[in-house]
Amino acid sequence: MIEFSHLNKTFGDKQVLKDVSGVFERGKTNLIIGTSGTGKSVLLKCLVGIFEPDTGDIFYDQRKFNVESNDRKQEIRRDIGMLFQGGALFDSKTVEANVMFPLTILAPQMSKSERVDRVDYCLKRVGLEKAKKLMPSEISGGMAKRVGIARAIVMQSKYLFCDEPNSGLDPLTSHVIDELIEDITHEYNITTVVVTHDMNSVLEIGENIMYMFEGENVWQGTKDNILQTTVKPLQDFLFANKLIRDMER
Amino acid sequence: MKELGKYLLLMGKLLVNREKFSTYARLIIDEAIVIGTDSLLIVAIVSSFIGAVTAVQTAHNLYSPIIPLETIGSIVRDMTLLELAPTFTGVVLAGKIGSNIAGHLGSMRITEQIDALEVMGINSASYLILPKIVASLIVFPMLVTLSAFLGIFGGFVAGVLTHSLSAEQYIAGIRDNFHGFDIFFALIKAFVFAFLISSISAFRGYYTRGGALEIGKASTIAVTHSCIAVLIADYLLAQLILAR
Repeated sequence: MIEFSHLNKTFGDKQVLKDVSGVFERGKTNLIIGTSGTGKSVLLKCLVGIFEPDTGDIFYDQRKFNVESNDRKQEIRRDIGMLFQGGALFDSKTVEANVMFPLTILAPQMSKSERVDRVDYCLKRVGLEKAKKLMPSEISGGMAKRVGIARAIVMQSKYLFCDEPNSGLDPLTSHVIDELIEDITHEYNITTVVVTHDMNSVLEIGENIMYMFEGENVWQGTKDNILQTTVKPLQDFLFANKLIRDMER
Repeated sequence: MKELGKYLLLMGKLLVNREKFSTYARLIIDEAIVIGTDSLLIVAIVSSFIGAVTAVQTAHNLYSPIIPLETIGSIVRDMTLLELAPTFTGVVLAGKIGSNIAGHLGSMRITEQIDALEVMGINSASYLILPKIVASLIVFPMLVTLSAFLGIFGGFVAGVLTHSLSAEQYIAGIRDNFHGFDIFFALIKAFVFAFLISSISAFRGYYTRGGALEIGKASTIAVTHSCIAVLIADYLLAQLILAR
């Protein structure tokens, strides 16, 4: 479980996060949604430590994350896997080497054969066992995302973060990625946080949804009650996505 | 001043929360091979011609019955060891290696590869930059040594082929009044330039923001700043170590 409270983040004169609080539960796909520029990715990057929030607290299963101690922070980070928007694969390494990379650096106690087995398992899990010798430049965007997921789960992470996993993908591939994220979340009972503005994903895998508007968390619910919302900015968002076009606003 | 502070903080970050030594050993060897093999040809060509030009121009300017021709060899040796080999190599490597380092780190930054390392709990600055700096510290002195040898050899070939002086006179000149300290001084310069070029270029690349255009800008700034730093360090080292 990830808990965060009163997060504020300012870049120059612009306050991007305004007193954001929330809880992301274990074993669920937790979604952060909202229009572009509302602070979704900034919130995600604060949660994983790429950005330092100006104020506020973040806890990973009661372990405080935003502390001064780098050792403590790194200890928690080693439980985190993240899928980046563009995949963020290391372009000088093969698919196999990309997935093996965290094990090579962070799990030196594993033997080489154990590492190879683990990588093979993860690549098979995302359906890419035949692509392991390819370079990132030789695979499609959807495949790159799947390699990113394999790399994120190879360390048996407790927390999986996905930054716009469907961006730039066709609807069919998006659906495959969504299913994969949902399956992995339930299979490994991990805490998954997905930033998206893809409403198909919201209605498919949104077990816990946070809607952000102008840097604030204005609504939290599930895919089952999102269409009944009375929050005006969320209604506008759903209307723009043609989900409540025929409903009375 | 803000940039200088940011640079110093980055240098400090290289030394904290490092991975195990064995992780770096392989990276350092890989970087050293890349820096060495990539630079060998250009350093060899530039050094040979600089040595040849120095010999020919010195011969032209010193043509006098009262100055022994051996002096040409001595001047080529001193100029090559004290100035031309380390400084020219430094400037050439600032262009070749500096832009490479800045471009590589810059593209890793904008494609979120550096963020990916950070999220994994790896000190990205230390993992990516430290091997480049250590590899430069190992390889630059080798390249400067090669450059000095080829510069003096280039002077020999040009001097003898143009009949400015005989082979015996040139060899006598380079052996005459030789100070071993000059080689040591050239190697000190090589170490200092290696650190400046690799660290400044890495700093520029590591903090790149934006897109492809900014990577190009970061590379250009890295080369410019590295060259300026090399020339300032060149003067300061000469003033500190050689001035009487």
